[in-house]
Amino acid sequence: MAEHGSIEELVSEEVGKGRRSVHVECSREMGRRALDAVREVQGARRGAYFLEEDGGFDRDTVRSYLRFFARLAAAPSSAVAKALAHFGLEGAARTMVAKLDPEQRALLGFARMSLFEPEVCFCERPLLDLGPDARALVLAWIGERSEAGTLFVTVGQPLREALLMPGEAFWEEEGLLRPAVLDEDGETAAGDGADDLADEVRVCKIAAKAGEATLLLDPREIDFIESADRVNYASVRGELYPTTFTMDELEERLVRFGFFRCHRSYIVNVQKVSRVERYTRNTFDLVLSDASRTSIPLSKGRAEEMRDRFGW
Amino acid sequence: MGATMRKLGVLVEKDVKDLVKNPTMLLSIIMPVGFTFFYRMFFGEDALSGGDAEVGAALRYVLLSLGMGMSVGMGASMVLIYGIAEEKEKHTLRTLMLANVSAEQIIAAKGLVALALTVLAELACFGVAGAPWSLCAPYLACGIAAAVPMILLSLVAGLASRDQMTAGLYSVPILLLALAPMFGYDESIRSVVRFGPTGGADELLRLMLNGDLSLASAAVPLAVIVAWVLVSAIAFKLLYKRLIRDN
Repeated sequence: MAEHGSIEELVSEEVGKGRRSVHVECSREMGRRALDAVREVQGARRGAYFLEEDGGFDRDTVRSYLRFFARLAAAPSSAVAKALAHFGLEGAARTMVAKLDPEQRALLGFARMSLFEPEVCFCERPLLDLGPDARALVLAWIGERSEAGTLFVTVGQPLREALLMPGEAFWEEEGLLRPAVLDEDGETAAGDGADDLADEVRVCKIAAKAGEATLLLDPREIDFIESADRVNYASVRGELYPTTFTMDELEERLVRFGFFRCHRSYIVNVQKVSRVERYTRNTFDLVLSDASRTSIPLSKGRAEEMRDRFGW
Repeated sequence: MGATMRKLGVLVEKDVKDLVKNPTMLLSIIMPVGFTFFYRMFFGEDALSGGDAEVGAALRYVLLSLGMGMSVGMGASMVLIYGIAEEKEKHTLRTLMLANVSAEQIIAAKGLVALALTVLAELACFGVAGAPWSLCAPYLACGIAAAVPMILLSLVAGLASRDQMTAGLYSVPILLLALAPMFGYDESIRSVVRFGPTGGADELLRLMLNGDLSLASAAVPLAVIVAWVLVSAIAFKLLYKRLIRDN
């Protein structure tokens, strides 16, 4: 997968030519340029857009808001009930839009988009305000639409969210957009010797920086390792601490503590994984049992290995 | 064409429902009627329909002119400017424009609803003023002629407003333009305000109530109306694309 010189080029090449969905970790300014680029390439295709600031008409109820957009989209009358059910908004159908919390507003935005059965869909920070359950609903819809042929362009941060979506993830560096996944076959995960080390008592601490101090993290405290912008971070109780180790070194050190290289850019503490979710044939994510129930991408090339190793 | 009309119908229905649910906007129709009623009570029935026909006609003109100016100022201008500014502030205008609805459809729907609201307010004012019903149709025709340029100017002001705060600022000159004929009871002031966007229609109303309406006397007010419709249409055409792009 090649890098692209600008967001306009990326959208034009991948979405304009109908190749694949793209998910970009980028600044807000670049995200807005992506919006303009999507509008440019949409052409006669049905489009739907979700922007972070979308509010909705305050004096509408959830149901009347969706009915209005269903009529604009010439959707059948059953579409509103279906959208309410799919996005878990049935209980809030009579609630005024002004009284919705941010998560419900985001779900309302996705329900609105679903009425248009879009062929091209742009989402700005789609998972930002969503809790684990709502995130699963939205990812399921994105998965369904992707399988039906919809091309998505999502923008925002962090890269982890971009990697959760079906399609290809890119990240912005010095104005260039680099593919986040370079080799799916990649290196074979270390850990074949893990059993040999089972009885050996060894001290293992992962050094990480916190301001001027150096922390020595207990592997059992680490939820996952994330590689972003050429720095590897250890996530502990929702905080990210940069480490000086490479991903390969971290994998080698952590594998005997039950960690698994689930993606080129992620090593997950399998003890913290509470659920494996599958949205399309090739899209998996791992939901952790941490406070924010973080979702971590599981690449298709490693899903099989993980299934074999952990027997799910 | 069918899809365009369907979307326009949906947008008009939406704007009407939104208006009904918004008490602040409803005030825009109540205020002109309330003021007309208040002034009718203030003048008293004797002065309006009593002995001196000339005084009666002059007072009737004041009532109907007030009703028309306020209906246009509140209904056509305030409702539009604040309505569009609210949609911009809450990004619902952008949501609509990204939902396969054209800017022209949104603008047309808002303009039509504002015009209908203005005519409704003028009709209510006419009823409250107690003028002969034979004058109702010409009165509403004058009211529509006054409303059209104000609606176009208000659409521009609404689209130029970033939020409801700036709408408050931009609506003041628009409102003053709409109400200007109300201050024209003095001859020297009238010689200026009769050339304003609502001045032509107001002058026609005055001629009609005084019984002085003729082709010759109506020529200048009609020319003023046509000129303002053209000026506001050109201003709207030039500015709206640039303003709507900011969404």
